[in-house]
Amino acid sequence: MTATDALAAGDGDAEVVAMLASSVGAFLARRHQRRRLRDGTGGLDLWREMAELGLTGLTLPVADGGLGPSAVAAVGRIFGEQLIPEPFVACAVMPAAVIGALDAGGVRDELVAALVEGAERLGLAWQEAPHQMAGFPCGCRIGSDGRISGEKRFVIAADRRVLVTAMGADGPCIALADLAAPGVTVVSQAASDGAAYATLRFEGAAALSLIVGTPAEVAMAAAFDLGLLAVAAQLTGLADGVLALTLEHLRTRVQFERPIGSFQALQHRAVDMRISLALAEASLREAVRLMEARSPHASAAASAAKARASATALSLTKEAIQMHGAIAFTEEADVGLFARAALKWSGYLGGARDHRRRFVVLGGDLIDDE
Amino acid sequence: MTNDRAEALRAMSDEAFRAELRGWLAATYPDAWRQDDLRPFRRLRGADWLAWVGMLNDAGWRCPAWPQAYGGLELTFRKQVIYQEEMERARTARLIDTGEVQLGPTLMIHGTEAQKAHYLPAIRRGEQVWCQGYSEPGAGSDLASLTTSAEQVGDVFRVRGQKIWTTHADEATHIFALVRTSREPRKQAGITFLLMEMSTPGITVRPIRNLAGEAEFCEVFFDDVETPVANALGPVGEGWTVAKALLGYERVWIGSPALARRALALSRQLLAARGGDAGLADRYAELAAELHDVGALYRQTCDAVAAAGEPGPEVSILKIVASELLQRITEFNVELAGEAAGLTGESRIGQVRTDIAWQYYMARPTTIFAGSNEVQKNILARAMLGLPTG
Ligand SMILES: Cc1cc2nc3c(=O)[nH]c(=O)nc-3n(C[C@H](O)[C@H](O)[C@H](O)COP(=O)(O)OP(=O)(O)OC[C@H]3O[C@@H](n4cnc5c(N)ncnc54)[C@H](O)[C@@H]3O)c2cc1C
Repeated sequence: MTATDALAAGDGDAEVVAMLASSVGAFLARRHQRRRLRDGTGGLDLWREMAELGLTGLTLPVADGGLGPSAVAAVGRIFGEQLIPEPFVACAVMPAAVIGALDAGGVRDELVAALVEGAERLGLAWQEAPHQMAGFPCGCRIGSDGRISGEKRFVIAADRRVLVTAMGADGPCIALADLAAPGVTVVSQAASDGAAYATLRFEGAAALSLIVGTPAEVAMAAAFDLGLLAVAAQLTGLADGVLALTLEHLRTRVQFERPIGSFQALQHRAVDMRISLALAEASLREAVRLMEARSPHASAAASAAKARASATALSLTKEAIQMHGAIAFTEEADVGLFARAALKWSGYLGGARDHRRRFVVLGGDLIDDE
Repeated sequence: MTNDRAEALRAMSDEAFRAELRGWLAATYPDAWRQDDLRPFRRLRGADWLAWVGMLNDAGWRCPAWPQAYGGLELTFRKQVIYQEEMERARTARLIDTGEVQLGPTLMIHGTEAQKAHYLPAIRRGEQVWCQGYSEPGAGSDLASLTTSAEQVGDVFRVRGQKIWTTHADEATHIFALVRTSREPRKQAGITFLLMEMSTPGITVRPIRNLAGEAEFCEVFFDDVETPVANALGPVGEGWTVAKALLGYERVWIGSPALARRALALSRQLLAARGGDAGLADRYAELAAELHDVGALYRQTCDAVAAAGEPGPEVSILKIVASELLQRITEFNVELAGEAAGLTGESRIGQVRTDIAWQYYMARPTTIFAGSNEVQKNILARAMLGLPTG
């Protein structure tokens, strides 16, 4: 039985998820070093290997090999802890959730295959402004002739094609567009985690409408919540990773003839860091639980987890820099890599403040009163 | 500069002095060097640094704190404060000049006549650019544990070891360093304050890229570097005491909330660009009010120093509050920018040309250098609160 066969075996099955996590861990130990982050994402070969492990189709339906939210969270944590720049959230978790919702048939089969084989990194271009909290409605338009116009921002690492959200005659629509087609301009800018953000401009570019109306809206909403869960997991893993690095430094850096970790002023703050991490982990697990249960509160819980994880990752990386001293302010130091990734991921798909508000808007504050 | 110039400035009322400097800056300071939304903490380097020092010299604004005997303006502390305020108000770039601010005053106290004559005029003219070689890989907060050694061989010291985090060493012509000339039971003893030319054979500089990707500080290696014994500043073995004298007023300036003010100006722009809500307005108001309070404490501390003539331990409070406030404002800017904070390099938020990650990164070390905030708090606990040591 290959790893992929095993992955298809169950939905949220703890044993399967544990197996997946350990194979991902082993794979990354072999294929990834933090240094890679300074050179940006790896090539398509690495992506394909990740696909072979089953990482690109986790949010597809079970019948297509999906494994559900607990697997997403487990893998996300590892990506965060190891600072993997590959676009797990942008080109696996989110597009797979949309593709899984398409009607059976030609395009769906082709896209599922592209996804699980890792043949290309397929993006989901939904966002148009900072702090945007939902895919629809949006400013991009799609005509009855399938031509798209408008601008998408903060799009991550698409190779060839993107799924694009747009408003058409029948309301919300998700279409497939070729980035090389006439009428499409791509402007990329480096981002602090090693993976670029792109702005896509469509000027009457040809696109293929895939899903429209309420189903499109539902698919986009699911993709957003799963994306939030995955980034929250990455941020939590990142916080865990930077805490481990900092504890190691506190144990080994000697000043005034003793390890600096023996100074109570630093000990209490290290404990505060651990406490923050405990809360982030709890919020993440709660989001997984409610999502697996398909609870009506799942979206609010995903926002709570993203808010908590964003704030935790930012505050832990700041503390880590302080406790490392000057060495942390170098490009070479790993602690800086954590700080940079935290800067990007904490804002990606919305920051702490955006998600605290969404949490309340969605009634998250009333869950426990029911 | 002639003493006439210094006398004229000294004779002016504080208000007239302020107006004079303000007018000059408005008329002459190049816009390209001003701190702005893109580089709120801009500092001058290289040719720009030299050009600005030249402009200050030509117009008679150089070395405000130095005595006239050494070509300085010999301003009262009150006027020095005004000088800083006006520079900040005009958003002039930071000028890191350890020669003027740190070494100069130390030379005046501990230097021989020959040393003073050799170094001070060259520092003032900007011909010598100095860097500070204190920290080592193993000696940061615990500076006295430094191991770079200087062995006396005839009339030279032979220096071996390494310094690190030396700001602008790659542009400096000279370095002042703390080196160990003997092993003593007390580790603060046996340290010597040594002046060296960077071009001396055996000195190698390796710039280190910082978190923001800029080469700002360096490693400096000493590989059997020979420097005359006469280059010790103050008595051999007394370098610790000599170095302490050097901290003086510099500890006051480091507590200025000027950088926080620039960061908050960016917050204001970002807030206008994205359109605020009540929550953001409250956060902004909180930071703005805190900046006001820190500014008040800063000015009052300056007044107290002007009256007492000596900064006391309370300047550590300023350093702590100014640096922590600066960091919190840059974090607020990250929050305001949202996804754009993850971009590397220049970006546009509404009409604001900025670089959110840069200002966030550059604010990080202010709580680490010039005595980390933890070390400052240790000092305050003992010197201000009189708490027992462990
Ligand atoms: C941007 C920058 C520029 C610099 N420029 C120069 C320069 O030009 N020349 C130069 O000589 N040096 C320079 N430095 C070095 C600076 O002086 C040191 O970083 C500083 O002394 C702290 O030492 P460290 O970095 O080794 O940290 P460490 O001393 O290793 O401290 C690590 C952490 O432990 C904490 N800690 C240490 N001791 C205690 C204690 N007793 N109680 C509680 N907490 C403690 C610190 O606060 C810090 O959080 C620069 C540093 C930076 C970041």
